[in-house]
Amino acid sequence: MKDQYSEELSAWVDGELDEAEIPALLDRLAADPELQARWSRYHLIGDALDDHLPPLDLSGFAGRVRRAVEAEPTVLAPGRVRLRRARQWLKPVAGMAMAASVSTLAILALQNHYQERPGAVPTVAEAGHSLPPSVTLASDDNEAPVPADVRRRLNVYLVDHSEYTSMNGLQGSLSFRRIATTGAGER
Amino acid sequence: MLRRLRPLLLGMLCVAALPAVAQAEGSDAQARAWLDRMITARHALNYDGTFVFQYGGQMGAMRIVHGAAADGERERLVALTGAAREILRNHGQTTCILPDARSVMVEPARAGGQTLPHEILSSADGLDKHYTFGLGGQDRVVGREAQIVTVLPRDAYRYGYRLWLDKQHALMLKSELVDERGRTLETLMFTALKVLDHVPNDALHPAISGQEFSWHHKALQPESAKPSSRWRVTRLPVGFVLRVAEEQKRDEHDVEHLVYSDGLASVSVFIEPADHDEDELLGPSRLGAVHAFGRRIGKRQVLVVGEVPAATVEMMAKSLQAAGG
Repeated sequence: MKDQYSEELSAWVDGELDEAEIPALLDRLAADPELQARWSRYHLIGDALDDHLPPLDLSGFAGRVRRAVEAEPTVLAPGRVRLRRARQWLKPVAGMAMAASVSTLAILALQNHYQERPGAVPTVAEAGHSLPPSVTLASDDNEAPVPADVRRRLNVYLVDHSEYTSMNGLQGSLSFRRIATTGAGER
Repeated sequence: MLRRLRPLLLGMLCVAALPAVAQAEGSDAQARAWLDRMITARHALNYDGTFVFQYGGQMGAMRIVHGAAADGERERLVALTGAAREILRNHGQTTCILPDARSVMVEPARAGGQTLPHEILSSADGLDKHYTFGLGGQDRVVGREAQIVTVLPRDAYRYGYRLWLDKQHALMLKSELVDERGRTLETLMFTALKVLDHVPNDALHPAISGQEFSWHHKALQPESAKPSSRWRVTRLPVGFVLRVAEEQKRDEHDVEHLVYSDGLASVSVFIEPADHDEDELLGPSRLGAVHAFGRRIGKRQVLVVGEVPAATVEMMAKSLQAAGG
């Protein structure tokens, strides 16, 4: 069950969790220190980039959630139980998608957008190596929307990378455009 | 000061560019001379423009304001679509204001971060082993006459460009990122551009101070304590060499950052402690023409990312090794 909440937490951070699922997740978050730690880590990973929630004092947030839940047990409790039961039924339906981790999902989605390229075999610096066929892939389909969580995670690294390319690349500072833009619905 | 300096800078620009154009023997040399002019103009001129771009299935628009002064450059980029993010550059220091995340990220100026690519373009002739430089036709962009310059990759390990340069100032008006077969991957185009005598100060100030946001300062390790990274990529596309190896502190953990470049294309390698979170970027991922490949090596999480084909980041990630281990 732990993995299920991790997925939900990840989805919540990415703004993709159904609102109806949030009370159950909050309840779990309040009771599970490991999940709280994960919650904090998500935000640290993201450097608060693309975050839909204010980057509060993260450790304090979990505490506040717990206090809020403790203060209102009767309001949250009944719905929570039903929701969780409903999720058990949902689980087999959603099958693979829910079992897969968010990153696996992202990769699966990406792989669909790769195509085999029949082009020339590229040259490699070290002699005696050529790319195995499976690696000579081209990214033809440039129209594929990037999942919000992939964008968020890549952004952290792109800040550092763009710092270099803005000084050394042909596009100069315009290479910062990648970290300054948000996808639709990501605000 | 700015006004007095500008003719001087423009003069330098012409002096630098004209002999190169005059001596050009083929379109290769002419193309390089144009690129040289472009890079000089980008840093030396004052301008205010709006550009649109497309990548990864979406479009965006930004405004860029650039001011050149005797004591250095100042720049402001503002996202006009989506969240109102701003990026400010002030004498090498970069500040990203992210109102959607209520946070501000500050990157310190780097020693040696001022390496201008035109030095590379003119000195390292090795570039023509990996790219074909050429002149395209004439065109008109944002109401201005433009010269098309092409920089096409010679293999499938890097991307190239088709650039539309303003005939008058040599500023880039439009850019297409292309693969080795000449297919366009991404497009960027100015829809408004003004070259100014001077930039009003308030045009370079952010619309939001971000004072109430949380601030993240990234610290580079002090020079004395900086280790020469023991990590090396052992299989590189021809022409790529290690340009940067630095250690930074991001929040709680140390991150090693290597940059490999062939002079035009560059790839970053990040090595950091794995946090045993399922959330890491493992395997391939991409953002438009930016490709990344992540993997675990022991207790380390590695991410290789750059505006290069997927094959390049994958090969580099898979061949990363720790020296003597």
